Formats: sequence, C-alpha cells, structure tokens
Amino acid sequence: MSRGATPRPPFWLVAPATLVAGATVLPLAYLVVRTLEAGPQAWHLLLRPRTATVVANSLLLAAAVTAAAVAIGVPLAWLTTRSDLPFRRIWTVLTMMPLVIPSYVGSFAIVSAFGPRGILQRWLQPLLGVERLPEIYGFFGAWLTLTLFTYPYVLLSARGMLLRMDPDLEAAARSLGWGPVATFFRVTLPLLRPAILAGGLLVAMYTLSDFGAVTMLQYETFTRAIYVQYQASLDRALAASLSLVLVAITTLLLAGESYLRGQARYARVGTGVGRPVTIVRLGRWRWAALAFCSLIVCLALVVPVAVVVHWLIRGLAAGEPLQFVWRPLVNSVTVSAAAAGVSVAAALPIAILSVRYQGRFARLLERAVYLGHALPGIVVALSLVFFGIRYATPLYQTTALLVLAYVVLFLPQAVGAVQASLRQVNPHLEEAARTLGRRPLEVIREVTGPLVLPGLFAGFALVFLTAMKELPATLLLSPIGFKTLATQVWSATAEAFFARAAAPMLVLILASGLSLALVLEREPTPVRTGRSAAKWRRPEGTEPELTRPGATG
Amino acid sequence: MTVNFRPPLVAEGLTKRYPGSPLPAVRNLHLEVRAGEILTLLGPSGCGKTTTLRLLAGLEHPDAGAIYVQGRLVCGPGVWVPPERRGVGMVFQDYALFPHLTVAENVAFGLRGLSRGERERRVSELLSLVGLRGLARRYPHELSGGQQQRVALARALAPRPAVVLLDEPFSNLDAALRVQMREEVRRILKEYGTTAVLVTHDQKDALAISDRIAVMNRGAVEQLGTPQEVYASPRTTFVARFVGQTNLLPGRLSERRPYVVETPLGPVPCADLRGARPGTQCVVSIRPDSLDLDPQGRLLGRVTRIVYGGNVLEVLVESLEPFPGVPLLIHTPPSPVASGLREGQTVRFSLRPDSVSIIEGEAACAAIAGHEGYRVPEAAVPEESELAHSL
Repeated sequence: MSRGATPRPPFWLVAPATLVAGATVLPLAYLVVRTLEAGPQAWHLLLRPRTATVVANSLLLAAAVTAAAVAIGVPLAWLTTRSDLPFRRIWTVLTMMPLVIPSYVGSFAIVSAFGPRGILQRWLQPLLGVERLPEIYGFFGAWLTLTLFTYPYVLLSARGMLLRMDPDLEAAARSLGWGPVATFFRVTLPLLRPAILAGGLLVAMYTLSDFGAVTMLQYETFTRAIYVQYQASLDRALAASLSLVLVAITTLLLAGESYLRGQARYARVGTGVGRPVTIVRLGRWRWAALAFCSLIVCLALVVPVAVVVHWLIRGLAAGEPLQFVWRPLVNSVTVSAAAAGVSVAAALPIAILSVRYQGRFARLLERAVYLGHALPGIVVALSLVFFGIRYATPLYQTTALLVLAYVVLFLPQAVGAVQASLRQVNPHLEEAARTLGRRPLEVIREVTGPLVLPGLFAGFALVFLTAMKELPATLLLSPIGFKTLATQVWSATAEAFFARAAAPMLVLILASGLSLALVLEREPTPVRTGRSAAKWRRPEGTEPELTRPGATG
Repeated sequence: MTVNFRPPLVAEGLTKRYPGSPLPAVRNLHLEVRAGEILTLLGPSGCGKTTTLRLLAGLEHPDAGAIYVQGRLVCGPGVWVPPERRGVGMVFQDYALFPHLTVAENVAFGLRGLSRGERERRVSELLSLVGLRGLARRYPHELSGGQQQRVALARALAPRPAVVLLDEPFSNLDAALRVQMREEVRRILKEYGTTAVLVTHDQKDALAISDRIAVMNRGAVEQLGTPQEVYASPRTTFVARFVGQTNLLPGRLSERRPYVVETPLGPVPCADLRGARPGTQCVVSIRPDSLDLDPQGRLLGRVTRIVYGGNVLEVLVESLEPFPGVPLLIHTPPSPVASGLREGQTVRFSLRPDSVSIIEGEAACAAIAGHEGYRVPEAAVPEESELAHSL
C-alpha cells in the first residue's frame, strides 16, 4: 500500500535537477527572445507566401507519411503477433530493422537505387531499354523514404499493445459468437486505436523534424527551409521564427502523443503474460501476407544495405583509403560518449525527483526535460549557434557546445531509461533501508544505485548510439575541421563521393542496430518457467518505450 | 513518566491528513505499547492503520501529535528524528528484501558498527531463530513466500529495535501457510523478547496472534483490549460487527431487575453492564454462539436459511415468540439434530449470557435504529462474503 503524499524533496536533489531542466529550456527560451527582438519584422517574414508553402509542404508530407506508415505498420503488427504467418519470428525482427537506417542513409540508398539513372535503371536498360526512370526527388521520394524508415514506430506501438492485450478479451468475443474477422474489427482494433494513434504521432513528429531525407531529396519543408535560410543569409531572424513555428507544431503533437500514451496505458488489462493467444489461420491468404512482408523488407532493408555494400565494394576495389573512416569514427565516439555520460548524470536527479517525489514541481521539471522531444535537431543547433556567438563566444566552435546540443536533444531518452528502472525498484526497499539505519544518500549508494545500474547503462547506450547518428546539430555545431561519421556521410554524398560514404554508413547502421536491440530488449516476453526466468532484474510488465530514438537525421 | 517506566512506543494525538482527501487518515490517535507485547491494529482497509504504522516508523510526517520511543521524543512540535535514527524496525507487507543481496547480507544490512565476526554471529543466530540456517547464501527470488517473510523478520530484528512494526504480515500468504506463519511469527517475537505492533484487516489473525488489539475505524482507535475483551464485550457497534459476527438489538436497562436488559426478545441477562445506570437506552450485542437450539427454549422462531460451514452451522432464524419479526443468527455445531433442520421449519432456542454485552450511547442506538420500531439487526443478515469469511 503505497500512499501518495511524499515529503518535500530534499535540496540536494532539487538543486541539480533545476539546473539540468534550466539548461534544456535554454535553447528554446533563447529562440523566443531572438524572435521577439526581431519584432514586427518577424511577423512580416512569417506572413510571406513562401512560409505558407513551407507549412503546407511539411504538413502534407507528415500526413501522407503517417497514413502510409499506419497502413503498413498495423497489418505487420497483426501478422507477426496473431496469425500463423510462416517464419513469424524472423519477420518480426526483419520488419523492425528499417528503424536502424538513419534517414539520410536511407534517402541516399533510395536515390542511388531508384534515381533517374540509378542502379535499377542500369539493370533495366539492357533488358527493356529504359533510358531514364521518373524523377525521385521532391514529394514522392521524401514520402517513400520517410514511410519506409518510420513505419516501424507504428508497428512497434501496435505490437506492444497486441502483446499486452488480455487474450481473454478476444477469446470472450469468440465465445460470444463472433468470427475471427469480426473479432478483429469489434474488439482488437478498438483496443489498438490508442496505440496506433500514438505510433502515428511519433511518425508525424519524426517527419516534421527530419532533416536528412528532405534535404537530400530536395523537398522544401521546415527543416530544409531553416537550414537554407541559415546558410544563405546573415539575417537569422527568419530562421529563428520558422523554428518557433515548427516547435509549436511539434509541441502540439508531443502533447497529443503523451495524452494518447496515457490512454494506451489505461487500455491495458493486467500484465496479460503467459496465456496463449488465439492464432488466426491465414490459409491461402498466407501467400499474400508473405508477399506483403517481403516487399516491405526488400524496399526498407535489403535495398539500403545492398546499396551501401555495393558502394563499399566499389570503393574498396578502387582503392578508396579507409582513413576516411578512422578519424571520424574516433570523433563520433568521443563526442557521443561525452554526451551520453553527461546525459545519464543529468538524468539521475530528474528521474529520482519525478518517480519518488511526484509533486507539481517535479512534474514541471520533467516536462521541461521532455521538451527536448519537441525540439528538432536543427532548431536546437540553430539556437545554440546564436547563443554561442552572442553570449558564450569561448564555447562557440568547440565540441562542448555540440555535446550540449546532444544532451538537450537526447536527455529524455536517458531520463526515460533511468525512470523505467527506478519504477521497478520497490520504494519499500528504500524505506526498509531507512528503518535499518541508512541516511538518504546512503540509501542511494547502497540500494537504489545498484538496482538502477542496468537503467543507467541502458540510458548511456541509448544516448551514445543516438548521438552517433545525429546529423543536423552535428553539421551546424561541429568545429571547423571536426568530422564525424554523420558529417562524413553528408559531405561525401553531397560531393558524390558515394564510395567514400559507404564505410561510415555501414558503421552507423551497425550502431543504430545496437540501439534498436536495446529498445526491443524491453519488449514484453511471455513468462518463461525455470530458474533463469526468476532473475531479480526481470522486467515485469515493461514495454518498449518508444521515445523517438530515431529523429536524428 | 518515571525513569523505570519507559514504554517502548507511545503515540499522543497523532493526526495525519493527506492533501486532497476531506477526512484525516489518522485523527487524534493515542496508543501506548507495553514492553514485550504484541499489539495489533485491526480495521477495515482505509481505516488508517497502515498510515499509523508509517507514522510510527518515521516514513510519514504527521500533521500533529507526538511519538516517543523508549521515552525519547522522536516526533513532535519542532522535533523530527528520521527513520534511520528511531530504533524502530519494520517488516513490509511485500517484505521489501533487497534483491541484489543474499539472505545473510539482507539480515546483516542493519548491523552497523559491529566487528565482522560479531556480525556473522548475529546473522547466524537470527537465521537459526527463524529456521533458515541453510539458506544464508540464497537470493530472495530463490525463496518461497514464507521464507521471504522469515528473512524480512530476521532483518528487522537484527539491530535489536525498541519495537518492530509489521504491516499486514500475512496478507501475501495462502490460507494454510498463513495459519502456520501466524504461530511462527508469534513464537519468534516472543522468543526474541520483542515488542511488536502489527497491522491487519483479518480478525482471525488479530485474535490469534495478539496480546492486545486496537480496533481502528476512520483513523481512530475505537477499542483497545485483549482479544477476549474485544470479542466478548465490544464497546461500539463497529467493533461488534467487525470482530466476529453479531446480532445487534435495541435495548433498555431494566429498572426492576439488575443485570437484565429489556429487548425485543424479552428480558436478556447481561453479565457486564460497564456501570451503566438502570433505564439507560442501549444496544445489545448477542454473539451467534450465545444462542443455542434448545427444544426447551423460551424463544421460538422460523428457520429462514441454513449455511453449512463444516465445523459450524449458521442458522438464520426469524423470531415468532415472544416478539415476532426479529432476524437472528445462530451458530451451532452440526449435531444430528441441527443437521436435520430444514428451511421453513420452526425451532425453539435459548440464550446464554456469556457473549452478551451492551453498547451505550446515542450513536450506537442511532446506528441500529430503523423504521417501525425494531429494525433488522444487520449482522443477522450477513452478506455472502461475511458468511464466507467466518467459515
């Protein structure tokens, strides 16, 4: 019986937590100040027709990508959890894998494969005499790319719900006389709706904040317009005000997403593990299902990996030196590790405060930190550039500012991981330690700390791997001459040194593959029997926290 | 307070209100725990008993009141001793064993400032006290529920606290283990000579294990006494209904005959009047085991329902003579006569004064006062669950 009211949080928690929350709000606050300074001029700029085009383009793309992602993700989720699809386990893994392809790598692969004179055209020419494929740049290319690499958000969210859902509900519908199809539409789908909406909102947010794909595929959305504006003109007021509009939209989506996430939690009935679900037999439909899965996996996974490998082989054959990998790799690892370390250290007070002292103040701090979710990388980078030039000149053009940008962007992931493991630590354990003579800080050292260690590691790894892939902030904030894997890929593809980009891309795919494995590790698994299952670290009833691990391109 | 008389734990006027709830969870609670006793806080869920325990342990701050541990003020106006310096042990409902530590490390957790050898000696002493000698190196997840509870108890006892608090100690155990652990916990506490306060909502646990019981309702203690006192002479209608089953009837102390209460069943003898004056309006509590099926009995009634409970038959009767219409619950052993009973049949029964007590006060009378003179004594029409509970 744990009753709500907790004592006032101690100062030694409040002080660092406030500091951290303040630091994360800094970029946004600065952006607001900057825009207000511009005054009526900012309004003037925002009311130009070009702004309207940018807004319309962005929203259109977000809507189209979300719809397509739902249309792909939900059937896949159902097929891999509730049907007798052959090789279900393998499809489960393969259909989630596109999440590991950073969007700028993905769009490079799409352009390289399906561009007007891409690999596909070269194959088709001798067979059918095709001279040129239709244009891939613009809306279609951006839509295709972003759909292929974001549908897993819907898939994961819907899967999570299907796995948590009490199978007895479907069994009850069957026993009340409804067939498998009717059961799906009358019971399963309504229960899935919050999860689908939550996953869809993640896709929309990703699309809005994506930089790599839209820039590479030359489709004019917010992020591209901001970047172009920043690059082209010395007056940055427009970039700042565009950023604010984008932040406003993503904040709305974030609010919707967190609301729906709450709803999705309510819909859970029990932890629902261990009971077998009714598996629907596909019969002849299985061939259609297999074709569908194959097509998606082929486009979203096989093509990008094959293209990267293709260029790698060509590069190695042409004697492309591997030195272009080594230096950026070291740089990437260094700044990412620094960001991960700082993030985890900063996450700890926030997480403890929000989980153990659930007051209004703690909620406020938590919200402030989660604001990072609503901030596209390009916006954070831009505001830190402004801030660095104006107020922190010694920091400008140092990796410290880059690390700060990563922390602002990815701190929510670290906080989420630490919170998740902290929630699994029974607060009675801490109280027991108190009654056995330990002071609050000793309790953290001897009881809470050792028990949340896995969460700290997970948080570190998540931030580390996500920072490795990050592109827009890295592009804007890297000191001159400081190359990372992501910027290496960017400049090599921009200059059409495709072979030179291949090796860094492969490293990035591997890195994000690891981070995906970390997220999926938390997916609920059926109860196993035997001693190995009874480990004390068993993640009871946990679900994969899909906190935008991918909006890095 | 003299130097020699230092009760292990005293609470004075404890009050705790949670923000957002209109009524205080604990209100003006007084409690004095005697050295070496097992005192149980008994009450329905939400009556404030767990909050009381947490206040005593220092895990919650009270809004008012004071707490003394062995005569030392640990909580009061301007005084706050944190839980780690109170010398109060606690056994949590879910045991709260540290999952990253072995059984021995858990038990040793509270032993500080001892030499290594001393610590090991104490741990093995405690483990043999709770009967877990061979399991010192196991981890908590490798233990059964009963074993985990023993470890939790050993861990709380290890630092020799002035008093150990146990929160719903038996609620996570199945029925058979529960009875066994009840005896086991009492043995361990007595053998170790510990003072203990435990919290439960189960009257069977409370009656079986306690030296004294404090029956709590809505944040306050309604009656404090030995299990026998609380059962045989409940002081309030709440206590009468919560501890065991009972028949509550309105009554008035006879002015002509001493130790007799006038009730709808006629004059009823009552051994303990608690000094109430003749003529006082009161409520009479008649335990179902004070009513006997008796062919020579003065009372006549019709059987309305029979519930078979193994070692006891619960017979619901509606009285016909001397006054009709009063429903009564009778407990009787399943004798051949009783087993022959059928619903609808009329029976004679009589009343023994052993478990008859009176409850004074307007509140008590109001609690059972109903329409048309005599209302149904509520406990005589127990809900399904209440019946099941008493089987």
